[in-house]
Amino acid sequence: MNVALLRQLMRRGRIRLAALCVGATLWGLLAPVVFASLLTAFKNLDLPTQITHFGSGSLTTLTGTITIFYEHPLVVAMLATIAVGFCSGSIAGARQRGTLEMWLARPVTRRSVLITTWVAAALMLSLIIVGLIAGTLIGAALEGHSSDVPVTALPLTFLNALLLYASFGAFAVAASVMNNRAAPAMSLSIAYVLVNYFVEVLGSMWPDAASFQKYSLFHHFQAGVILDGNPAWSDFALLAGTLVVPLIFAFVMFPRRDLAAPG
Amino acid sequence: MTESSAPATVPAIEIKKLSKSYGSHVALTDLTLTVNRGEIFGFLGPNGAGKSTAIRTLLGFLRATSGSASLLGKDSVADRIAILKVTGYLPSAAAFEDTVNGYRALDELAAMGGLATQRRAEICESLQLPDVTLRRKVRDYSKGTRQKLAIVQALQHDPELIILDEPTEGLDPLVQHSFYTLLEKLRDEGKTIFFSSHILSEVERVCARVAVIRDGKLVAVEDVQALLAKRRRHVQLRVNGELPDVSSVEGVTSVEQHEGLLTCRLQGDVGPFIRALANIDVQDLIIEPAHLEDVFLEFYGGPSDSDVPAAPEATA
Repeated sequence: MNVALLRQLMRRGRIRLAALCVGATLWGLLAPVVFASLLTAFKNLDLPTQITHFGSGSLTTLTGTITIFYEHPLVVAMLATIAVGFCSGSIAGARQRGTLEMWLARPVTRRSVLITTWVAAALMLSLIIVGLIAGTLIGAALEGHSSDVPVTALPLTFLNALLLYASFGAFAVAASVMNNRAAPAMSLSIAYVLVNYFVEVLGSMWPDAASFQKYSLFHHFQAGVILDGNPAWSDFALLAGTLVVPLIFAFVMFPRRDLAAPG
Repeated sequence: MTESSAPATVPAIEIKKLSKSYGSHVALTDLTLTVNRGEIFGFLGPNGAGKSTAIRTLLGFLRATSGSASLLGKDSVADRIAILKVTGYLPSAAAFEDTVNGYRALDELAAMGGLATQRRAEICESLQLPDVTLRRKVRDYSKGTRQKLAIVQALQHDPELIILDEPTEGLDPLVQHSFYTLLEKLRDEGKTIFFSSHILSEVERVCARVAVIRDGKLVAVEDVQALLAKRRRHVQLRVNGELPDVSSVEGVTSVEQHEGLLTCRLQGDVGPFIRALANIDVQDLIIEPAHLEDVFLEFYGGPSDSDVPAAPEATA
């Protein structure tokens, strides 16, 4: 890994990262607040699960509400912006702009550039997820529900979320390595995320499609079951696998590729 | 200064039968070339001839289809990292992260490779790249200023081998002059400079030797002075009295006389021609210097591909 490049990449993305961290913290803070305000209203109502449940979450419990907030499309969009946007543009974008040739004119290996860009993305994702969790803890404290938050389960929730988005990032890095321009790499990566998301949402809405949900990576981000103290280790293993495979592919392919002249 | 461990007798660049193909398209064919230590070597050819492909293959950006190359005695593929520690490279389309200022752009590139920046101030001064410009964001730079910055990043760590792809692109004539003076200074310090250009007159001043590439094939490797000796100057002579007969003078051809004006072409040493005029009352004498470009057009300017005449020293 190249520490100097890592510093550059982090510095370059700091404003966008700061905005996303603030957004994630505010969003995480909302979960306990919303739960507290809806608690009384939902108590005496017999609402259908299609309304109270989303993904593996439920508005009837604090952990369920946190889960809904963590699996919400807004969070998906925030984290996918980094995972897909940053990673797919990392190699292909630098190649297209001509900066990759300048980097590789230094005594650095292609693999170190590759790993550094992925580590930068993983760091950014970590900071956003930490912001999300920190917001939840602050919100729970403000609403007097701190004792209802399973704090010991939060590190595993963090890891599960990081594995999910880092695996999307790994796919985007692989797409970036195989393309000379950023646009095709980004299109491919966005399509990958959207297909995964579509399969997961479709399965949750339409029982006939529920059996396909296991093929979506989103289905293996189970914040609800982790917060309820029953983490499925197979989810972690599967996400780790989908993270490692594209990275190994990129690791093998990148040094073998001709770097087209920028243009 | 960064030092390589290779002995001084080892050539700076040694390319052996280097070829590069993209599918059925052959971009470079059996390039064989040796660049000696401490020389400025010009790599010439029209746009699209394969100059950048050769350089990018040499530096590992492209994988050679066949052949090999060594830089400072090290294998260009296996020892790439060691080579780049003592090499400065200017790409033909140098680009920077343009949200930072010039200083930061240079610092970041140096830090990435763990390279020093000891010659930055001197190079910036030579290229007329002042402090006030370096404090501005790169996105505000003109094409010429970006090119200056790109040259600085290639030279700031005082490399032993300098590879420049079209270095004067975008530089104004004054800066070009300063740049060549800088190259001569670096050569005098023992650095090896290999640079590509499609403008022959550019290399005439500074290069000891030049290689010419066309359609991916090496056409010639020539000593610049030897090439210039082949040139045919255009001569115009006006005398008081009768025009002399110079047709038998060594090197003189195409003699024409018209209304008191003699024109001819003169190849090689001008001494015999001047001596032939010793007893002539010369009114006016113009000997137009033939540029390297004219020589190349004369010797290598035929149709491309297989019609190009083979040069006597096609490999060095």
